[in-house]
Amino acid sequence: MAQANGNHDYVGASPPSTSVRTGPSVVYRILQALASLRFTVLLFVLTLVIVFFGTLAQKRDSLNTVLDEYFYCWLGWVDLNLISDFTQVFLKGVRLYGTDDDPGRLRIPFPGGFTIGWAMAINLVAAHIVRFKLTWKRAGIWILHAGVIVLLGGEFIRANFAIEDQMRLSEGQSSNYLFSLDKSELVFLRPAGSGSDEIVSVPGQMIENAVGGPPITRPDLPFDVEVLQYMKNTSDPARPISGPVPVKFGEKNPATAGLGLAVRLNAEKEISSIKGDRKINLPGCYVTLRDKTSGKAVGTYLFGTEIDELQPIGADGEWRAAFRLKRTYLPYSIQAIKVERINWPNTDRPKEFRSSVRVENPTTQESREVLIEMNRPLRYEGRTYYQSQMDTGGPANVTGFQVVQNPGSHIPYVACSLITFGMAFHFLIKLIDFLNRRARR
Amino acid sequence: MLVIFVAGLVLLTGCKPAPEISKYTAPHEADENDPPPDVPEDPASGERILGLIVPGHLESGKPQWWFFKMRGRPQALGRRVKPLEEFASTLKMPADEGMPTYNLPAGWVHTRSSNQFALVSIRTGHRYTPLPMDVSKAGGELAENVNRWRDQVGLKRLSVDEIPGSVREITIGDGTKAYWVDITGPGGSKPPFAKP
Repeated sequence: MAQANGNHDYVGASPPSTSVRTGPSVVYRILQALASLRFTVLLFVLTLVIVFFGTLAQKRDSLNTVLDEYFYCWLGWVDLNLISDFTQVFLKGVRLYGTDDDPGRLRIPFPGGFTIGWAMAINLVAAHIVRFKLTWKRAGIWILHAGVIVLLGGEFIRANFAIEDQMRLSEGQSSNYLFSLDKSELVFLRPAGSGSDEIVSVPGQMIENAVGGPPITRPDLPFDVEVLQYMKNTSDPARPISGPVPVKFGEKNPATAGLGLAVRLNAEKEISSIKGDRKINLPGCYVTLRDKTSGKAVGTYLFGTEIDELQPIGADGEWRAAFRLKRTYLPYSIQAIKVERINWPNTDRPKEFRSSVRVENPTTQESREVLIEMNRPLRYEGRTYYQSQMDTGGPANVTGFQVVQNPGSHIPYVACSLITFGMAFHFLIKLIDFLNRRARR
Repeated sequence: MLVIFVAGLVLLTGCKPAPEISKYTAPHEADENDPPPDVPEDPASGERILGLIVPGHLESGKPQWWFFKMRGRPQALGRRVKPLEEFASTLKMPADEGMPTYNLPAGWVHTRSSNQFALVSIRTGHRYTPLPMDVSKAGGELAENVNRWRDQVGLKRLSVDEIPGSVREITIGDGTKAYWVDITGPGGSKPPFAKP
């Protein structure tokens, strides 16, 4: 019971502490804000929106473009008019704006996948620091959420560091390089002696960014590269075979040298990831090469991934150039020995695709035969070779491998194991708790 | 924990490198060995036929003629004169109804028959501007066959006496006497019922 007398003005037997009770620190308050459940809900809503628009965007753009513009970026640009594509399908052809052929764009800035992913991870960690207590009863939740963070981190590593390439071999053929399906390069080659070429590779993205801008210059090259035109795709998805078209006499032609004098490439729409019929974008460009010392134009050349041919540059032809799907050379080679498609008995339906290959590595003196099947890839020197394509209709059977190099390839397994273990652990604790309470009753 | 998390964030942020020009060495890549492509020529420059007419085996006392014919624009065919000479120097005719044998000049490759009369077609140009040389066989007189080609390039027909002056006699690989035909006209044979 409270007491009071004339000698002191406090209530109780002893005076209260003279120290001033301070509020939570600034860091703690920031963490509290970051741990907000409202913030969590907002992030889930943003995720829903970007996944929705990112999915719709695949109707018109390639998968890699969508990944770059919506998910593998900090700031995305969401095209609101993609809703028209949605209403067109689900509301009997109604479009809010534009036509199917010319949809028009209404792009707004939007948090990209990286921003949302990292915000979710921060939100989750902050919630654990501020709200969740580290007790045995909560251990399952902690493990489960750790699994979610590992999963997000794994996807971030995949987005930034994983490389997916291709290798294509006809029976008997050997190759020592991989090629990318979504990256291109303008390469300049000259003989470097002892059966090798010196190669200067200019990334296709750099060529695309240099249109109308200052020339690309490099000390290793005797000329500067001025990009006049870049075509993101020159392959018409509607035509089974497309490619260079002969130039007609009198037709306006930017090329003044090389194959471009005789042929041109048509700029086509970018191939959509869902309508592309498994085709890929084949870019091309017109570039003017200028002599570094004199500044005079060596010539304006047409290059394109559909022109898979080295063109001699200038009169001496010491340098040759080509625009092609980006190559990665390997210190070993792979030879297709036998390429097989096995059908189900008495049908044309494929049961199995398999390729017998020989791996020849001069560094390790290795020469061994390996069988690659649908679910039995070859793992070699940090790369995994999956059987992904097979063409058995032509004069020689052709096999295609998807070659993946992903430093975080095992992270999803770890993450899923943690999540499963966390859920099971949490369920077990709750079950024991329930059984104990029932026993006490 | 927060420190580790922030450090991880800082380390990973912006790890994706911007595209850069790179330089490396790789095994030498051989050229395609295709001849340079043919640039478009003014249709007003006319049409040219370059080819060989070689007598083959006799049928009812008359020779079956072998034709090795290219038809196209004048400059494009001008670049094929030397390869055709090289081709002719290796050409050997069959004794019976078989096919002639020959060596193809650099960059020339066999291709699918370009028309229903061609027994064999040989691509003589770059793969983007292929100009086939058709190999075919027919009877008739030399003058008839030369005049047929003259019709095709829009030249007036010649009399039998004038024909030897319009072709050049050469000796092919097996010693056979053959006729080198190189004619240029305004182009385009027209069907007989077409308006002049």
